[in-house]
Amino acid sequence: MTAAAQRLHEEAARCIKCGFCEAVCPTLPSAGYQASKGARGRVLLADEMLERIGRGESLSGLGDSFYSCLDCYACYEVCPAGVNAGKVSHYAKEIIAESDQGVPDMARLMEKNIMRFGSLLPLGKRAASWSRGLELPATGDTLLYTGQMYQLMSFSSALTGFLRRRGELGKRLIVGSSLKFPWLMKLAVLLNDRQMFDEMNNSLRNIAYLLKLAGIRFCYMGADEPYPGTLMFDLGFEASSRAYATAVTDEFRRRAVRRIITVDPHTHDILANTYPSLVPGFDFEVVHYTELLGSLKFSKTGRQVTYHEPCHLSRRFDSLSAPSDLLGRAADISLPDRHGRRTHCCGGPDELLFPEISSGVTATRTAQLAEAGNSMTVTACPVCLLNLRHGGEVADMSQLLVESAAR
Amino acid sequence: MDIAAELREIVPDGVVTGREGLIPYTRDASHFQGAMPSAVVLPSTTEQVSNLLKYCGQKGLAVVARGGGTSLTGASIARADAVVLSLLRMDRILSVSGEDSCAEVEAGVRIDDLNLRLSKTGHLFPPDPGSSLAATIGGIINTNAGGLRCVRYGTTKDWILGVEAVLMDGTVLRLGNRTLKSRIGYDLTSLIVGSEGTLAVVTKAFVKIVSKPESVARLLAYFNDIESLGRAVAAVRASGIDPLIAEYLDRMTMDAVESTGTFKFHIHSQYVLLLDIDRAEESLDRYVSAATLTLKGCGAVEVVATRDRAEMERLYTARKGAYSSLLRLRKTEHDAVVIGDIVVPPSTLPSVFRRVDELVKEHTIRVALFGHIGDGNIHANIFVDMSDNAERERVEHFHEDLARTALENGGSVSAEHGIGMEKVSLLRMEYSYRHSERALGLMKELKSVFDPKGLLNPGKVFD
Ligand SMILES: Cc1cc2nc3c(=O)[nH]c(=O)nc-3n(C[C@H](O)[C@H](O)[C@H](O)COP(=O)(O)OP(=O)(O)OC[C@H]3O[C@@H](n4cnc5c(N)ncnc54)[C@H](O)[C@@H]3O)c2cc1C
Ligand code: SF4
Ligand code: SF4
Repeated sequence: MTAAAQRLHEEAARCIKCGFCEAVCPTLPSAGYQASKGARGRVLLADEMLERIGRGESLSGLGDSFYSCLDCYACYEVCPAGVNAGKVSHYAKEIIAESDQGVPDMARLMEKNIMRFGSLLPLGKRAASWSRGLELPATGDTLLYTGQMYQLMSFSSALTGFLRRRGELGKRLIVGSSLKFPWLMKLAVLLNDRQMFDEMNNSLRNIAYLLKLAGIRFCYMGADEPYPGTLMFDLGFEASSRAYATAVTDEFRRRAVRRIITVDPHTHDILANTYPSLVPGFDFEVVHYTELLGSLKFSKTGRQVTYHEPCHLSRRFDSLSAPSDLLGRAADISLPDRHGRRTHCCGGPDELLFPEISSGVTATRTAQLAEAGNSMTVTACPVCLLNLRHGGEVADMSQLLVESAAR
Repeated sequence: MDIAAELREIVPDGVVTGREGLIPYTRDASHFQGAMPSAVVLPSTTEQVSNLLKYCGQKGLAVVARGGGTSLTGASIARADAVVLSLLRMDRILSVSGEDSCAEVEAGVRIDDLNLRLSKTGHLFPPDPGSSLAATIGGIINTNAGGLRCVRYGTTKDWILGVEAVLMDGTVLRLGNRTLKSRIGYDLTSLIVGSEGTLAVVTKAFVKIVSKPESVARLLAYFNDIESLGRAVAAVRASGIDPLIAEYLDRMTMDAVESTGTFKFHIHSQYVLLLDIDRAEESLDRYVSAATLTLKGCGAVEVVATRDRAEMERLYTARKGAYSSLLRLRKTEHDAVVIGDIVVPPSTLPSVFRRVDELVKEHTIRVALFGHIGDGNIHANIFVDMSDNAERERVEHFHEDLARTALENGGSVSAEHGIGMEKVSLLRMEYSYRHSERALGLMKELKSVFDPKGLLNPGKVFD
């Protein structure tokens, strides 16, 4: 049994099939309640996968169940046996990638892009345009690491919109050709939602402003800053992720970095929770920017907002209360019924591979947020920000914090 | 046209075929492995359910209705080739009326979702099985589920005013309505409650709702011997305190609960009794003092009362999750927890407990006990290594002896989890003990009136 198969077995074997996870798994209702696209179904199909491996049979037909998992860990919160169907899906994807049986072309393309361009898309200098005029040093003890997440949103959303309009066949053709001719990806970045690009850049400028206001000195890698490889890891490309994370870490070391300030939940999560297992000796201090702003004086802006807590902050970190603490000082916040560790995914992670499921999850979440009764939602994640926009006014937390700190 | 294509004519976007899509429907929360269904259908409307049943009836296809798939007795998986009919798409809460004390809900609505909605107007749907997060209205109606609040509110049957149900020939019946009373001939609604999907498919229900209790205090009474605890329950009931919840846990269950970090008990004792008392704010403290005196008088070594909402919530969650916590004590992945679900008149609890204790020792098995003691319901959670035939046999014998103990004390072999595949022989035992085997015959005759070809959930309840 391979290491991934062993991990899969250990996670799935504890399941008692109670179905609790299904009741909170966002993909189940969005996939029309087909159980194979829900948490318990994933665990049961993991058992099937292990049996097939034991019998030396093909794994084909199993992939969709695991690739459609949002990696949101809502299931783990309610599982009486401590099983995480998100992790089950992850290990299953590792096995599929390892055995090269049924990896979706889109997943392959993302892996190729990351390995080739150091990002999901070759953004080049555009990735650093937000920092123009800030005169940030390129090396230093403390690094502000954006991981290109805010910057990527306007391009990835334009690209997925473009692909969606081409239909299933068109999408397959484009993805297939891009796999053969990587330079096509350079054309892909010509698709951009300019307004969103500016908004996302503004969030980054806000964050930098707040950190400076709090007296934090930091460096930034500019156009050389690599994406952390999150999606490649999430898609199960274990070996590539290891190699890639090692290269990213080497770059941190080359710049004499000791402390890394992250700005988005996905990068914070992968650096704090996954890099240490991918890169031997990864011993950097990883902090979320909000953890450094406690000393700032925030006064209430008078705004009434609903806070959508990103899964990768509220479920991956037990003691990270800074984002909601700060927001509470800046505005009157309401929380939707599903909040805290029971928060609900925005649907973003499924946008590339399962756009219909993604839209369904987004619609559910926007309805839950609307029920909380405020006209504005605030979040602290570019992926959530992008997805929840379909349901009304959404602002990045940094915007409110800047407004509040300036009063 | 093949069956799947014909089913798709009825529910165009809701037919699942193919091994990978079907596998998840071969299991529920029991330890049984179900058969692979020939297809799964996911209707969204009563009309679709009606057309599906009519079609399956004409083709002679067996149908297994499924809600949350949380059955502990194998009730929601197929025994042989069948079409599984999942009600989860019928997930709308159609109306809530505090004035009429009634909510109208589709069968696939999950119980916690209903209560979340009701809590916004200060209301409550009382049945609260430990699985309420995932269990559905259709499921709890068909198992007549119980829960913690049964001691005060009774089981699901007491909260169902009417159902919309579809027969195997496609006929849609609307039984009962939004009124709190109706005497309209034989009570067919009650017949469907607890029928485990063998008579009809429920698509909608009118359920009764209540206002949430005004002020509640939660008491923990610690005991070191089970007979004192049994006496205390009887004394509390006799004193007119009328608790909202009366639950007990044994030491092993308390250890399991503590291991999850949900709750730390105040002292180390062999048993704990959990009581909820609700009264008007002005008199609550007086009742709590009276209950404390009664409990101490019966031998409680310590009584702790709390009105702190967070602590009360933690305790409720801990008790509701007791079965789940026990799963952590499984020694290997082959271990299953098989649940004995007996009920006895509360007055017999002291002697029943004594006998259960003897049985555990006689059969040398590992068992944790807890239950809804206020209504005499004891759950014996037996750890069994499914790969060890000798142990399985010992557990089976314990199960039978436990059931016999319940019967000898005027109780029943099955309190709330239903019969499914698991307790078919125990059901026979109960009617034969009461010399009422004819009751089973009557049930089968009734079944054949509703479902002449025997296509609805075959192999459940009876052989
Ligand atoms: C951890 C855990 C704790 C539990 N605690 C309790 C408890 O405290 N009290 C208790 O009583 N039970 C308990 N149960 C058992 C179980 O959850 C309940 O019996 C519940 O009522 C089943 O609901 P469901 O929607 O999951 O139904 P399912 O499991 O899907 O189905 C149960 C039965 O109802 C039938 N059915 C379902 N929907 C319909 C429909 N619409 N029309 C016709 N037939 C239908 C099925 O065919 C089957 O026979 C527990 C289970 C678990 C896993
Ligand atoms: S909640 Fe946990 S034990 Fe229950 S079905 Fe899901 S993974 Fe299995
Ligand atoms: S991680 Fe999220 S999407 Fe994946 S199985 Fe768990 S709840 Fe469902």
